[in-house]
Amino acid sequence: MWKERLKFPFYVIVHPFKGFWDLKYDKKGNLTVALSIVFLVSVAAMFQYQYAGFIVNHHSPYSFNSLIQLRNVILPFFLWCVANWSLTTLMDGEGKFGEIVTASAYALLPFILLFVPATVYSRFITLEETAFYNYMNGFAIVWFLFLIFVSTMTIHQYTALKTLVTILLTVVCMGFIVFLGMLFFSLVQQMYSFFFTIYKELQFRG
Amino acid sequence: MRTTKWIRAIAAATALSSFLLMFSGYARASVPYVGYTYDGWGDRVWSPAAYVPDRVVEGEKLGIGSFNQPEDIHVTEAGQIYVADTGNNRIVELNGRYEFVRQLDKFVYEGSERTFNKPRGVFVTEQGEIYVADTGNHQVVRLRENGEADLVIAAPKSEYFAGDFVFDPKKIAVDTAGRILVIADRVFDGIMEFGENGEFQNFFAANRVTYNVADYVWKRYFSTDAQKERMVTFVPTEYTNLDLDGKDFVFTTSAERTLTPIKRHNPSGTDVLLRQGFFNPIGDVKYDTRGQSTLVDISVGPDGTYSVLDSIRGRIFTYDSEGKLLYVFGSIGDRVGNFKVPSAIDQKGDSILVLDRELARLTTFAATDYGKLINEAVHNHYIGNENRAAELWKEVLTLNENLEIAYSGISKANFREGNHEKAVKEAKFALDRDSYSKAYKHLRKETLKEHFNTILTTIFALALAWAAWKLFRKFRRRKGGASHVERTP
Repeated sequence: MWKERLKFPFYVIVHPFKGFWDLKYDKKGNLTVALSIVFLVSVAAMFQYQYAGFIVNHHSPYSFNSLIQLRNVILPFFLWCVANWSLTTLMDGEGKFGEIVTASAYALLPFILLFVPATVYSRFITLEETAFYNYMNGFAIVWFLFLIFVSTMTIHQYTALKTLVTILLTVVCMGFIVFLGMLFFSLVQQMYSFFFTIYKELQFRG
Repeated sequence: MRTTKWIRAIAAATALSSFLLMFSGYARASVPYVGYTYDGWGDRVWSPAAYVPDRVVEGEKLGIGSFNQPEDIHVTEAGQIYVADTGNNRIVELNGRYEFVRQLDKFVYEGSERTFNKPRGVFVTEQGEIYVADTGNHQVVRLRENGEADLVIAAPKSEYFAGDFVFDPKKIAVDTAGRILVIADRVFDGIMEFGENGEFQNFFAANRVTYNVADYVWKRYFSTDAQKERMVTFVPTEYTNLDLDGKDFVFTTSAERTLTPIKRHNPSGTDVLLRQGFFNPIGDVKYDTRGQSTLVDISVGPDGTYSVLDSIRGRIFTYDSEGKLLYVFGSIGDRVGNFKVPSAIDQKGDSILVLDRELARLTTFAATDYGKLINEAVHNHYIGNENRAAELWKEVLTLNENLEIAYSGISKANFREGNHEKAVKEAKFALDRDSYSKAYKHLRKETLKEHFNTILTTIFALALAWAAWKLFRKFRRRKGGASHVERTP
């Protein structure tokens, strides 16, 4: 059972159309596997950030912070899922939230598969060979974009054009969510400081 | 009783330590600033001071009355020092030991005696001709060594200049071919170039107009004529100063906050300055709200090095011929060796001379052991003597472990010796990716060659093991082994 569940994401990334179809209609996706993939992607990103070879690694070791790396992958991922779900609910999408999370997570798999070997490879290259390293990373991104496109199209049963529009709107929507979040936090902060000042005032008078 | 004992002990210790300090090599322990450089990440790294204040030259001590807003300084090959004492309308000449020689406040031209008026620039050629940018009189004057003028250049008549053009020359330099280069106020077309006899020839090395796209679009398409009139016109940046190197290439500085405030122009006016350091030579890489360094003067040193003077923070930045930052020193302040409004910089042998307009004094800085070692290492690198340079860089590292350029130098020497492993390691310390790549290429080749047999054997053994495994599985399956049986839940 687990063996199949673990093998399925690898099937999806090479046969996306059939794979995402099976994920939706044959319920072959698994949320635990999906979330593990997201976590492993952030680990792969951390790995590349810190261990990429000297030639290609322009990150100061002083500024390495695993939590920031974690945030850079996990936060956008869930933002994407929430924004995508919110939008597609309004736009006649057929996908459920769980399906969106699973499919999007499976689409991230190429990052693990390419970042890790690229990072190992980068430790043995010269300046002239950096093109191949960049190509590997670039290929991971292109592959991911293609998968996310197919997954959105299949999960929601959209046409290609509608998928493109949805993806663009989702990105805009992510921006909105971040903005609202910031606004909310700053308001809460102000309210907190307001009540705290009243409390202090009472304390000094009492 | 006890307290007095303590006080006595402390007093004795203080006296002893100050006594030791006075007689040690670092007697001037109270350098009024801290030296630093920038590392490859753009962070400021403290370093020993490369130069320390050596002497202060004031007009009063020379017996000629204090300087008044002096604006320029020039040191000849022979070590004679000329100060443009702008506020006192005179040029002061000092000899190599900073003693007063003479002052030039008037000159004879075409039979009549004339005086200077707020001269802001001075330059002396190898033949001893003194060129003065006589700003207040709107002219450039050439004096013979005896103080007699044989050339006065007034505002040039040319179609390049409007009728109401006012010629306010402020800085001047003359190359070995006798070409007179003048930077004048409100001339935005570049450096004015005059021939030997004072005829205007051309503009040299015009700066380009720089503006940001948003400003341009706003002004061009969204502003009314009335608004446009009140806006700043986009004009090219003015140069603040210039200096010539041994090949008659013209170094210039501009106060504009661009990525290329320092330029080195070849004879046709193209900027050929090398910028191979971690950052462009711009002065401070990280700065506070006062913004990027305002470079007011440049002085070309030996071995392709050059030092620039930042007037807002009173710092001197020295770069090597490749545009790599060597050391930074100096600061604004009230102590001896500090500046208020530094206006000009020049070099005399191993010392650096900085003129201060507000404090009206000339401060000389002498290289410390640290500074001397760097200078010597740079010299050896410049003439291609990498081994000696590496030895010197190693000595530098004992004084400052954080100097990346030193590791880079050692790496290069190691590479030449064929010690690629060491070269790779040092290049990594230096954050020098080019050197690293070059050395690593060789190291990789060597390692592969050395372990060629092991690698090949391992691959062969692995292939054999894999084939054996396949065969074994095939054999088991044919026999109907347990591995093929479907498990039932």
